[in-house]
Amino acid sequence: MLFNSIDFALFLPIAFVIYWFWASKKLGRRNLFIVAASYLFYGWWDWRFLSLILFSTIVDFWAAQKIQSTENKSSRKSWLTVSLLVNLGLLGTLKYFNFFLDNFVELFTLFGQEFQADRLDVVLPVGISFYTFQTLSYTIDVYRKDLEATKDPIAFAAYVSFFPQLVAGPIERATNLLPQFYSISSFRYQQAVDGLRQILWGLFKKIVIADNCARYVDFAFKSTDELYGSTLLIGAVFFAFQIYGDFSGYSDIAIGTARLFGFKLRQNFAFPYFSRDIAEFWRRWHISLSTWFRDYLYIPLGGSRGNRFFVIRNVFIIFLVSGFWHGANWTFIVWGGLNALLFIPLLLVNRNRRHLEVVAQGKTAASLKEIGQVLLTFLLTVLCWVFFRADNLGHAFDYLGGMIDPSIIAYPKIMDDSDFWIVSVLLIVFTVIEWLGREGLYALEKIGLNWPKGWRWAMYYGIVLIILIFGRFEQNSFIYFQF
Amino acid sequence: MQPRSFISRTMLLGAPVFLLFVAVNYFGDASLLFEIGYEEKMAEIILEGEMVENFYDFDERIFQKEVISNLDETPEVVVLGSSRGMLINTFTLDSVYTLMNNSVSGASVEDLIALYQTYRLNDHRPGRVILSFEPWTLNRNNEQGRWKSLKGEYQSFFDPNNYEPPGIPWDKYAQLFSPSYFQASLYQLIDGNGSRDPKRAKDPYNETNTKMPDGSLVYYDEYREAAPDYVDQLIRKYMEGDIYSIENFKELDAELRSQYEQLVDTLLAEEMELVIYLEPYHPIMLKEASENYPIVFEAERWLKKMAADRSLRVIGSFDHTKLDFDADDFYDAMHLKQSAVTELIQRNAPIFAP
Repeated sequence: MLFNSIDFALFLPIAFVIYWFWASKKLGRRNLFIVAASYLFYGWWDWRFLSLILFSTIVDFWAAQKIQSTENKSSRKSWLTVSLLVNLGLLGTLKYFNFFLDNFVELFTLFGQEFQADRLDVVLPVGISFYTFQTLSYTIDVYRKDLEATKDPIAFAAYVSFFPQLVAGPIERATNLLPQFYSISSFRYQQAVDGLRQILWGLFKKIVIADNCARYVDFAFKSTDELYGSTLLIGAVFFAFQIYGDFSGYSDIAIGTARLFGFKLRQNFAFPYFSRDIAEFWRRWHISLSTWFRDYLYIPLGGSRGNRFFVIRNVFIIFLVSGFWHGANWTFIVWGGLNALLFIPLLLVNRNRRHLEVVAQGKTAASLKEIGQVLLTFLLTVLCWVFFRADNLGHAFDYLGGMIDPSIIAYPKIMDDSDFWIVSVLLIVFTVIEWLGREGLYALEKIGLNWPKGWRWAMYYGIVLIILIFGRFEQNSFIYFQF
Repeated sequence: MQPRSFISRTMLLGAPVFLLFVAVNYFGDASLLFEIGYEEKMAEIILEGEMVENFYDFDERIFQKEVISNLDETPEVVVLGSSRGMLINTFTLDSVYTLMNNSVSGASVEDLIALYQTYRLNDHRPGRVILSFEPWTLNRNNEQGRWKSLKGEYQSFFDPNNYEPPGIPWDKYAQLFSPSYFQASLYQLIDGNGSRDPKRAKDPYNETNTKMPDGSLVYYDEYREAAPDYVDQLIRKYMEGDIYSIENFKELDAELRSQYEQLVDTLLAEEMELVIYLEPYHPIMLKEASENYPIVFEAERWLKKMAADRSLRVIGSFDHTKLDFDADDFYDAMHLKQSAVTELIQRNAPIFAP
């Protein structure tokens, strides 16, 4: 079920009440309840998806037990390989089979040969890319002896299927989340209030920002050939807001929901559009995925050790694989490659770790230099996002070609739409709030905490009313669900 | 602090917003869901032989049921279709017959069945029926659920002993909690149209749509008089989103085909003279349908074969080029102008045996 749906609005309070008034009294009962609630949540899309997640859970629980039970390196590696093959095999088959097949067929056609093959006609289970990586991190950590294999299958099943973050992350490490299933934390009022606040902000980002931008983005990407460069630029910028609002909004709702149940999930977005360079952007965007690739792919490949060629190779691999993780389309691979091209120069001159603190930390306004850096980085990410959103490479190049054109200074007809101005004002308000709250884990974390209660509540009511009045409620799914 | 306190505090603080939300939905009532007797008022005016204007969202199915149930005389011709059939009026048939147009927006097979059954349940047998066929008629995923207002009538067509009177309209009450309905109702409260009560019209051309005494429709002035460029713009904007009722049209649904055939066969068995009516798409929409929704033409082919097998007359096509119409003949992506509807019918006149 979608976070922005009536189904979830009913599910959450019922689950909350059952959890705190009954389930949380005993550990085993609590974990079993979480598994049941999570399977209900996940099965709401399609009950057939449950068999796959159950299968992954059983395989990885068992593989980790086997790894743990022996000190023999070869045996440990074999069991790890089983886990990798099963998980990546399932993911690869369901997600990438048709992509490889289509490209294979095209390659044959290029050489003048006909090749026919049946495509796989399956529905890609929602969230498979996320929970697969989550379970893999468990078996890898057990293999590396960073973590003891759990003997509690219910706790493990709860870790794998934990509904707040099951379908679109954050991709939680077992070292962080699994231990939270070994004990019950008591209800903490402030944590629950904080969770509600984060859910509120996540809903604002998704329903108001992302879904309002979506309309203009769809228009720009559907009618690319007929529009001025200025309109296409607006479409690309709006997509940057759409994907951020959508994805980070989901993460906020996930993290906030977890807090309602006393669980702590990792921050997944740290105000990436206030980054001063691409390296900083990638430390702030989809943190759980980029750190996963860093720890489980980049470092094992050698990381930044070795000669320049070696380092460039490793960076390219990470970004290309990261792009490919997002979808079975050359556009995602090119998107990853472009980001690699932007990142590598910084790495080579050792300037990839310049900006570790948030921009203008402790200050209200940024310097002109910082503003310039932020805008340039934003523009570069916008250009890359075109590939992410386009249907195919040809479409992406057409879009960019149409955008980088003398008509980029023409009056964009999209501005005749009165709703466009409302959306633009909302984007400005949103950006200001994000700016003011950039030193917190999420924008609303600290804003208003020192205000008189009346003003603080007025702000919350204001946000709720903005969501109700300006939000779009046509049940738009979250973009990252397709991954 | 305990969860109990957290819940009670949250509910207390959320209550004003919740109450405001429900109140706006109820008092703004964008689609007049909570207005009682609206359809009855409209039907009363029509049945008195007068025109009615200033009507807004109403339950068209309940309105038609009110009209049919209170007819003094059985009309000689009945039109059962969607909004694309609503412009067929007494004059398009040269006033030869008494006519009642019972078309409802987005009519599905279930609607056509329910409407005809309503005639049967009220012991009316019209003799001649113009039955529409739409691009979405055989689409299981057409998202047309409005026929459920006449669910009892629909079900009793298949099982005459099983007429279930309408139950509690839970769908309607669910709108009290709908965020989309909140937005529409808030707009209605702030910028609404003043009184939305239907009123007797002095002539057919008004600032709002007008229902004629024969049940047909006359569009409002601005809509009828829109310039072709503006119409083109509207169509292109319309095509940015989902196309009306033909999204996810994967196959000609077997059950819907069977039900449509059953309706046709019942009409023929009851000795109705039957004509099937198809309206075309606007040229821009036709191009879109040809490229991305070719199944609608497969549906048309099915329909024409079904009709030929029964020696039934079919008037029209989804393809405007077959009817020699162009963009100027359309109000929008899928509604012909009155003049074109009249021309289409009269080209095929007499459509019923004299």
